[in-house]
Amino acid sequence: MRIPSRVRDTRVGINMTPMIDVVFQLIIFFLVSSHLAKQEVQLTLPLPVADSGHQPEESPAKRLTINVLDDGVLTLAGRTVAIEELADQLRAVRAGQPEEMEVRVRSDRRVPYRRIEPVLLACARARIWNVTFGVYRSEDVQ
Amino acid sequence: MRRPSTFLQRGTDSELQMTPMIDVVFQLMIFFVWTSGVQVSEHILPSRVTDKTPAEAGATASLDADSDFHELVIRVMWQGGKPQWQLNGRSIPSLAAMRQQLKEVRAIAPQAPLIIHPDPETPLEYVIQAYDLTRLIGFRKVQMAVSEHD
Repeated sequence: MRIPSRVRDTRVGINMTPMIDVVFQLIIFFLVSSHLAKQEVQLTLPLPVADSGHQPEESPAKRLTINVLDDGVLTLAGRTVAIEELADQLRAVRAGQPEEMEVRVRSDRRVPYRRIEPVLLACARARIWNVTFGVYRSEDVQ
Repeated sequence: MRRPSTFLQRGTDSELQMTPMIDVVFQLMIFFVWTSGVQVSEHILPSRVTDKTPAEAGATASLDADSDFHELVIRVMWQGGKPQWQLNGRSIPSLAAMRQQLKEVRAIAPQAPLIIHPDPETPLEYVIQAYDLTRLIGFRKVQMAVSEHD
């Protein structure tokens, strides 16, 4: 009978499994956290429907996103902001931005225009003329 | 007879375990398929804002053959929980009629600037609906009127 050699038995390869586990855990963590961060900026809202809307293009212009919730609450770049402060905040951002800026208004479709009007007025006062509205295509919401 | 050694089997079993990796890859696939399927793709509607309120004279000007189409004003009003439309002061019964009117105007004056002036209580979806209509017809100089009510 052959007796197993102790030298051969102690030859061990690198165990890759824990490393792969950890790497995948990290990947999942970053994917989930980036997904949550995206959700914070892009809240799920029932946007208005418009068929002439087009896919957003990558442009060098700095873009700010303003969400208008159904109760009129405004969020600028993910943070709640009072309408009285919006113009000042936009002006402050605009001051450090010599190039043209874009403001994207993502609003609940049921919000009355009187809630949107101050947002547009604040943009005009901050000399931001390029305002876009977030919309859905009719075929996407049916 | 050679007796298999459990020690030997464990010692030589240094191959890469694929099963956990495949498990995790499937988990990731399910995650991405689920999240991408739930989200509706969002589009953007470009616009330019103006800080000029349409003059009352302009807003009540009638749309007739003698008009020189300096400025077209679409009013989107909200009365009795329903939207109502006006084009340069003239009531338009429906959005289809508005479409027809705007097509006729565009045939005469394709470069006419257009201002959308909604009532404060008009829900945004009807404002965007009117704006979308003007873009679909081919007007490119469309602005949203903003004014201060305080």
